[in-house]
Amino acid sequence: MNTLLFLVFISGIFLLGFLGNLFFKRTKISDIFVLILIGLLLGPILNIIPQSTIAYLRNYTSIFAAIALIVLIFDGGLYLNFYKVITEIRNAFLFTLLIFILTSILSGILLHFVFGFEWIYGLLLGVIIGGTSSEIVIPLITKSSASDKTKTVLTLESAMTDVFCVVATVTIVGIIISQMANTKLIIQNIFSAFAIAGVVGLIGGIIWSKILRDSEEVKGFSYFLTLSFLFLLYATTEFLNGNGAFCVLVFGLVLGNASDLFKTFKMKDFTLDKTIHHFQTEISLVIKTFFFIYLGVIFDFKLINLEIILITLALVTLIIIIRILITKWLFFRHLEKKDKDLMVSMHTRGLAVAVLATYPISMGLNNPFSQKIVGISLLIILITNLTTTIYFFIIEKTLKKSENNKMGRK
Amino acid sequence: MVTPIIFLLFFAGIFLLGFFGNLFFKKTKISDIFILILVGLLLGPIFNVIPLEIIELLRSFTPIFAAIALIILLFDGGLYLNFYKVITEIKNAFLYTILVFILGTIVSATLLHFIFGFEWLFGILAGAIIGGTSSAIIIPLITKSTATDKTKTIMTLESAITDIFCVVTTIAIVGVIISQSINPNTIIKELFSAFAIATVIGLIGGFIWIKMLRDIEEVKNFSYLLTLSFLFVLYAVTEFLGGNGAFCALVFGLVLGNASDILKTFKMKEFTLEKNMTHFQTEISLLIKTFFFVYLGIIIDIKVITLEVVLITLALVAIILILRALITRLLFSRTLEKKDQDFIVALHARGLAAAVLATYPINMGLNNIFTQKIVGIAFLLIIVTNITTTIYFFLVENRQKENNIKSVKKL
Repeated sequence: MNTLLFLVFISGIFLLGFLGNLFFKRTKISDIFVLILIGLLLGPILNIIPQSTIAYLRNYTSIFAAIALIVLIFDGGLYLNFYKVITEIRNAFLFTLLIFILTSILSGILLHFVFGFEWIYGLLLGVIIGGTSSEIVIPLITKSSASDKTKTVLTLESAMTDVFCVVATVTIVGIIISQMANTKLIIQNIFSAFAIAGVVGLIGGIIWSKILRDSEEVKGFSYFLTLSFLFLLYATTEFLNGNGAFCVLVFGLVLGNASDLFKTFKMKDFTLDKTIHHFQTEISLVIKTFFFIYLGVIFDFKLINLEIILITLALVTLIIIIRILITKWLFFRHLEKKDKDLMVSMHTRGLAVAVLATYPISMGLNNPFSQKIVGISLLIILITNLTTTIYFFIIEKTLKKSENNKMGRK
Repeated sequence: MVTPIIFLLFFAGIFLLGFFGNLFFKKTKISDIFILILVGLLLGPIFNVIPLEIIELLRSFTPIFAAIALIILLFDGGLYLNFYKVITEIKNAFLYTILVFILGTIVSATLLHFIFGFEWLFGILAGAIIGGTSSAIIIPLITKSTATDKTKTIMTLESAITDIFCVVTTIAIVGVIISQSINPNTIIKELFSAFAIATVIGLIGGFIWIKMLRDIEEVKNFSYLLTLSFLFVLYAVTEFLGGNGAFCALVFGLVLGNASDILKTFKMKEFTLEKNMTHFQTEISLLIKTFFFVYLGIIIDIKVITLEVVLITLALVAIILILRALITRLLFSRTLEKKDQDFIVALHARGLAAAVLATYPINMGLNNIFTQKIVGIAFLLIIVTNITTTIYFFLVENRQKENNIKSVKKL
């Protein structure tokens, strides 16, 4: 490959990620759609990246997915305040859990009975697509005209939902791999996978916080050392048959909440360096950009057929109907119509779905179902991005109009 | 097939190795470069932990890796140099580099011709290929040494300038061998335009980028990666226009690192580079450096090393050292202390430029005994000069320490 072209390509992608991010901030139209589209153009549509290279890239999906999973879940943990999540907003928790469980189970049922999926794969797809995307919902909702309560609930939903999706997906993949019908063993295994991950993540997080606090040498290279340490923890956890992704989440939580945690345990104070947050933001953007373009590039149009399209449309409809029902039922009394509408509109899927969609394959489950899951997930991301954008636009516009009318009457 | 776990362990292991190597260097003054290259040699050609087909694949990406490493490490070098010192020292650095390069090439060619039976042109070709020090190796070493700023500036500049001489001369000589005609005019023109284009683009790019970093809020949030993207584009533009991209990266780094002073000189609104940015640069430099050296070890082909190649290499290393010592004495005996003169001689390690150029003649279709030998010589020379540089550097630093202790005791 030509060196200059390669350099221009890399910087082009950086720039694209940056501009996409800006574009999203300004217009509230998610850049994910654009990024996947660029990947599709570069890869399967215009064949700018040759077929042989794409085939080669596909071999490395598991590695790319693992890195994206680690960096982005770590990011999620870092910014999540677990105390707040659990104590302050029981409502949001209930809302999220209900939506998540109903969406996954109903999707599973639909996939099994209508589209002939095996039960377990139906459920797997259901939990993969069961959650909204925090990186799209949070910026959208903070700048919307929703009430504070709605903002809090939706923000928490999108943050917590990632945890549910990760935990559920990993569990189901674990069940498929171990092929155990023995309920007791399944529960034991699930429990030990999370127990190991929780313990490794917790201990690792505390050790690492102490090292970051006390060692001057480490501070000089804090970011990449943290990443290396995280990689080691992930590998150790997986090696011990624990759940690496959950370990990463716990590690991120400990680091992000280190200040509070240390105070609780009466240890010497420590707050995570600002530079780590800054790097994490930059690195996350790069990983996110590359990952979405990558998903577009390796996308196999042969996977998309009428069946996949129908499944996707059915699932999107299901997602929206469930949201409408639960919003009406749970929040009927407290909220204005506008807020309920906004809650329904914030159903977009994002990065977590994309990462999790490749997870079964990365764990060695390569079969027609897991391949279909990738295609469906990608389509769902594209479509929900569109529907959320449009829905959101309409709500905000009608609001503006009615405000203008009121002003006019006055 | 590489599993994610192995890949993650590999990445974490290499980075930790770089981190501890760096610590080890700080404590002992023994450079970690050779250790990293050794790890690469063990992983690659010696124990074949990395399978052959992956090594072949990695080899085909050498120009890309070399470009990225050069860009980041020269940018790093520029960032920490003082602009005004560079302007005062550039004359010395040029003179030193030209003398070392030309004499080195001529003496090497003479030796190769008369003792080892090389044809003249191929002797000169070998001399030019191994004629320059490696900025990727010299800059990290010298910036952390106890040398004076003057020496640091000269050494950084030498390692940056020398690459250009090696590249231009090698390409020109291969052209002469292929076309069988000599035109010294073109060489001089090319050398001049390589520097001029790089300097102009680096300066203008640097100014534009300082303004962007200073004035646009959005850019600040992603300052590091955007800077890197901009730098990649500048490199590509420079190379496309026939300039030397690596030198452009050095100039760009120099402008950014001295932004505060430069803007004051031109009475523009003030700006100092963010701390975050230099911190990130330090981390990325370590990452790139570590991977680069391990990579260098992995791709070295030890099968091409024969007894003759060993003898030739040892003779060439001796010539390199003697010439450096003589020319350093000649140019700097009045202006630099003994310790700093020693530093200049000590830092003679060859790196990736030699590896890339060594395979250039064969890639251009010149496949004969001489060009095959050149590959072996260049690879072995990289290993040997890194060992000698490590030892020499350690001795100079150690003597310096002892002197300091003695002088403290005397007081």
